[in-house]
Amino acid sequence: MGYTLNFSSVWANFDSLLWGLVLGLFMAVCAIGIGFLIGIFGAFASQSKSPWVRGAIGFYVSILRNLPLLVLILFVYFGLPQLGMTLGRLESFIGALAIYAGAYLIEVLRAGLMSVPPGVVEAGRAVGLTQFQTNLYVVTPIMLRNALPAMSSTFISLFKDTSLAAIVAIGDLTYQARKINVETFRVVETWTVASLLYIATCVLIAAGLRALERRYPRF
Amino acid sequence: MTDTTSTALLEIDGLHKRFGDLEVLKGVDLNVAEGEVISIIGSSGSGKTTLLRCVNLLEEFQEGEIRLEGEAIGYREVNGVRKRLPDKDLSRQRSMTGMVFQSFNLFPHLTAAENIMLGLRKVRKLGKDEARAKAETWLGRVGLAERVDHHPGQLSGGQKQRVAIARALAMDPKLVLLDEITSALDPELVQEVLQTVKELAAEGATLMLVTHEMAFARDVSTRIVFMEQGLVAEQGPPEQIFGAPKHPRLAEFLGRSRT
Repeated sequence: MGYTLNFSSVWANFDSLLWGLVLGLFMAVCAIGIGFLIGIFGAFASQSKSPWVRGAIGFYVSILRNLPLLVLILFVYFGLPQLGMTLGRLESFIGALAIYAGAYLIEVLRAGLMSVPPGVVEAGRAVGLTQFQTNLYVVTPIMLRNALPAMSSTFISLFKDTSLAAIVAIGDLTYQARKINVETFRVVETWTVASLLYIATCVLIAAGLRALERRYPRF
Repeated sequence: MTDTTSTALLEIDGLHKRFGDLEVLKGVDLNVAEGEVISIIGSSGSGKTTLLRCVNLLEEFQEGEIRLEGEAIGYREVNGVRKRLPDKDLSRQRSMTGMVFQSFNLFPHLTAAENIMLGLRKVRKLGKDEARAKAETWLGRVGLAERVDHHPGQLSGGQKQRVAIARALAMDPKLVLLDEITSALDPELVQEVLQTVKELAAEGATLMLVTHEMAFARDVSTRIVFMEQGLVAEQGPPEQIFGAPKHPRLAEFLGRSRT
């Protein structure tokens, strides 16, 4: 083959890769944070007595889950300004990822909600807690704990999905790697280092979430 | 024999409960005075558990009235239309009665003490230290002083049920409802729970229990209520009910329970 690996030009630009990674983590944390709120709200709303509320949640989930994320990102970034909503590229990407995350987290948290034993909910009511207090102090902690394994894999997927930000020219890890690739032609070296950074980060996130699962036993 | 004086703590008048087409309670009348220990017996499907659940407002009911200390619970009349009370009122009324369930239903994510403290803090609005002290006192009274910071997963069935009893009693309810509280326990754990109930009865708590433990019911109760097909078929002091049952179905039921 005769290809000689030379990482020196990648190391010279390593700090831009790391900053790209930090930006990706930042976008993931923002999107997951907002998506998580959508998820909790949507999971409880999906238990609503009103068929309209349940229908609205079901509609949201099925639209977002059947739409490729890349299409959603491009739609929000290029489409919304045409409709009169101008967002910065970072805001538009985080927004797109958040509503996408929300749809998946509604499903994950709804499964967690179904796992809460009905008797425990009755015990909360019997003590005299209002429905809201029962949801807050009894149902939510049990739901979150039981949904944790499924939430972990969703979080990791969402972090990996931040690589799509490169398509709207946000300077994340993938964008920076492509830049180094184009400027130095060190294709194999650049993408090897970028891949290892993604893998290492995901492994660390997974380990952290598993430690959390061990800390709080399942109910 | 039946206390139907105006001093009744709990008054149930003509209670009807339907699940769809199935009528489970067909006009139950029952009064409970303060300090009474009432055991409700009867075969499965007679409506015993449903009756307790109506008193604790965990079930809706279609006709009749339940009054606790003279206050109608669960419903009010607005312009002649019967309406379920809003959640806030239901919660306040529920907190006047304590409920202990067959399957314990402890909050699995909270320790024994925290299980008791939740209601004290959020419903009774006690401060953290006061709630903790009260929880510890009650766990001590049910013999679980050593288990204060254990989670339900680390407790035996009998211990869980005693925590559940402490959780109900710590709220200082007017009336405690105990729904087949030993039915899910291993036989060797039944006695420790029954002993706890006996002590509460001796201290003057007003108890209404659904039970299949006939010897215990006879021993602890001031009155036995026999339910049959959604109605109170016979009631009276234990000696009368067990010694000289009048209702033919009661005699038959007791005969089967002894074997």
